[in-house]
Amino acid sequence: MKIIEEIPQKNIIKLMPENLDDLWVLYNIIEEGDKIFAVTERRVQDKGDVIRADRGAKRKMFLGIEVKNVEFDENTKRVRILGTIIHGPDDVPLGSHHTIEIKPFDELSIEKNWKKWQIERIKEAIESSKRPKVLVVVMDDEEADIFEVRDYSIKEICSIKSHTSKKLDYKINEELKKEYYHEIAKVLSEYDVDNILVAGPGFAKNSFYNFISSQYPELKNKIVVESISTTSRAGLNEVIKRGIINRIYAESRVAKETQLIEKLLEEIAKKGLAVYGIDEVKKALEYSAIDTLLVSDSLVRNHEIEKIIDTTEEMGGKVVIVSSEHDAGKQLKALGGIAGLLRFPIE
Amino acid sequence: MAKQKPVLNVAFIGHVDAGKSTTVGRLLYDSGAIDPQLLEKLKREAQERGKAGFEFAYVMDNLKEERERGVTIDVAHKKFETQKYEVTIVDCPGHRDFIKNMITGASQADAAVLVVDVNDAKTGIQPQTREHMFLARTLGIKQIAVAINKMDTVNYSQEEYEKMKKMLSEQLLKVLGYNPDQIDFIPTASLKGDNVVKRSENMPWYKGPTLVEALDKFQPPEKPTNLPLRIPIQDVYSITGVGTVPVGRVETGILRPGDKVVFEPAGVSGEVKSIEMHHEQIPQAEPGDNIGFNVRGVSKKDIKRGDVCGHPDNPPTVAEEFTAQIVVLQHPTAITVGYTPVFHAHTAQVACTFIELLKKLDPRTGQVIEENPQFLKTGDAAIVKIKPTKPMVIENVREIPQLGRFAIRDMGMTIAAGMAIDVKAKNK
Repeated sequence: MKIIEEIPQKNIIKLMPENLDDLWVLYNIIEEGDKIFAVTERRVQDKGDVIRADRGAKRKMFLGIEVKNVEFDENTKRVRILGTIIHGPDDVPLGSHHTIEIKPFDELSIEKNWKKWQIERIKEAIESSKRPKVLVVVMDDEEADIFEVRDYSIKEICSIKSHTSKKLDYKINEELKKEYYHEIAKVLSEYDVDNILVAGPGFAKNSFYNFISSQYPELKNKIVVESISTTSRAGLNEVIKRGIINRIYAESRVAKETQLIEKLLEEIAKKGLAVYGIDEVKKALEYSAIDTLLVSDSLVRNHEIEKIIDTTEEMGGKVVIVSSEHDAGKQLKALGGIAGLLRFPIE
Repeated sequence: MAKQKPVLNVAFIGHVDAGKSTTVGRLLYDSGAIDPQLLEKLKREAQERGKAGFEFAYVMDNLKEERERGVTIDVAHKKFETQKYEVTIVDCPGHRDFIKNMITGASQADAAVLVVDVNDAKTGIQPQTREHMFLARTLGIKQIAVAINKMDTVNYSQEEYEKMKKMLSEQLLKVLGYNPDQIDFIPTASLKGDNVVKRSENMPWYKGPTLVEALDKFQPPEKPTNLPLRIPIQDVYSITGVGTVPVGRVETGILRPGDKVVFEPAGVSGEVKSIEMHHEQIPQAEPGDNIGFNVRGVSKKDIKRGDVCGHPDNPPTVAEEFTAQIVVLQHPTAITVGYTPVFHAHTAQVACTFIELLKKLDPRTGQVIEENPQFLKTGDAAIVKIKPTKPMVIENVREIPQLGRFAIRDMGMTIAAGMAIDVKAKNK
């Protein structure tokens, strides 16, 4: 994310999102009633004699809309902002509906009543664009899963199977193993990343590393090897929970959120310094007991929740908006989408 | 060829370095199932690698890495005959990194031999001794024997043996609901050969059976031949001149050459050409048989470990989602909706998400104590709804109990065990 211009007296910030994570941030901070200005395309109909249906030509223009709704489409990598036109060229009627589509590297200006956590999020997004890109390979001798770590989510790229077996001949096994390692290495070479974490149980990860050292020396320096206890998605979760990602990715958003949720679950299990659900959180807020408020991003558009966020910030508590795109975020959603870590116990 | 003796599958389980593979190697050697020349060769290899004393383990550990490191990685099968049974030994890895292979092995067993180091009495029960027994229990293994190994390192002391026996009985077996009085505790020294096949002269105080006699005391497994055919696949081979050969243990039903079969969740089907058990053709396979069978019309790449073979008229159930009754054995925090650990059922290992917590139960009485709880923690029993992240076969435990049980693992621990009590099928 880049900030192109800030006009504080008008509450306007002009931004350029650079990747999917940035779009995700936009999706979360744009609310109903905000004003968005951007270059966009719109069909303009000629108002003359309409004998044949004429859909009109598409024209590029600079429009301003008042937001009614925001949609996020991960597949086409676009944020769709729906609203009514409040500013535009003379031949476009004000008040008619329009949808602005934002994809990476599009510029847009947002005029709104900025909240503290929204500014924080933009700052974080700017920071994160400077961070290295990371791939994670979770593997053992049978199977390897490759993941791309993004700021707010983790995407599974592919899963590769080895087909080796203890009952096969030694030579065949070695060949299959090589084929398997080549296949993984090929996928890794396709991605332009700064770091690759190879993690897994057993010895396969080390022998893979040795293989890379001799066969793909250009990948060697990017690779970090770590031990974990399981493969597949559960192995990936272990990588995140244990903070292994943080060591190579500075502060990963997913890891930070996951660790906060883990802390929350631990406290809940002990009946300790934690509350969850709107009613309990409100009560804890009356005691000024909330140290960190965790809010699922699926809830931030809700007015009641907004009030809770504001009150928490006034009382000096931290607010963390947790993405619902990763496993820990889903767990928070299951607990009502809002929870708090407390400074001191309340009854 | 007709089968003379009933088949018994015995898993060897226990903590890493307790001597499972060595015990198995000794058992096979002393019963004459291994050529002495081969053992001599293995002995030389072990010495060359600087691992003298591992020659018996090398009988089962044939992977290069297993021999280099002196650790079993994957399960191995070997056949030998006792007075009463044709025994298939399933040697399981003890190292915690390879528990998933151990589960595959144990899921094929009718009985288990727990091997422990007698010296553990000084340090307490080892973590994988505990975990393996938990898993054996979950997988429905009711018959066990215990080999208290490495008696030679404590001068064959009866006192040390009794200490170990007491600790295991009190702290582990009783907790899991086994009755220690019905279990044989055999003091062995596998490397030397005491009480494995030959009765030891070093331990005149021990009057019980040797290990091989203890195997003969096991009851033959039940044969649920009237249930629909289910064979969880343990591995698949492609053999030149023969074709695709999946291997696994028949859990229920009967398989004959000429049968049309289907593999789920792969969804591919073929025709059985021949069935082999330990390199011998057999006319039909029954529950308990560890078989390889040649299937025409299926490629090696189509099927994998964790798939289940059945007849097309009653195919294995692929779960869209399922309802399960679980007990949380140990969990460092709390389980909520959205939690996605790995489920181990028969030979399958699939990450599954908790999508609903329906009821919390009293673990003693089974009574509902809370509807729709927000979270579960250690010691809780509950009824939950589960959604697999990848297709997997699981059966209602009331219909096919052998395929209805599972263990749940996360962060290197077995955190819960349970059974499927209702399955919403994807393919029916």
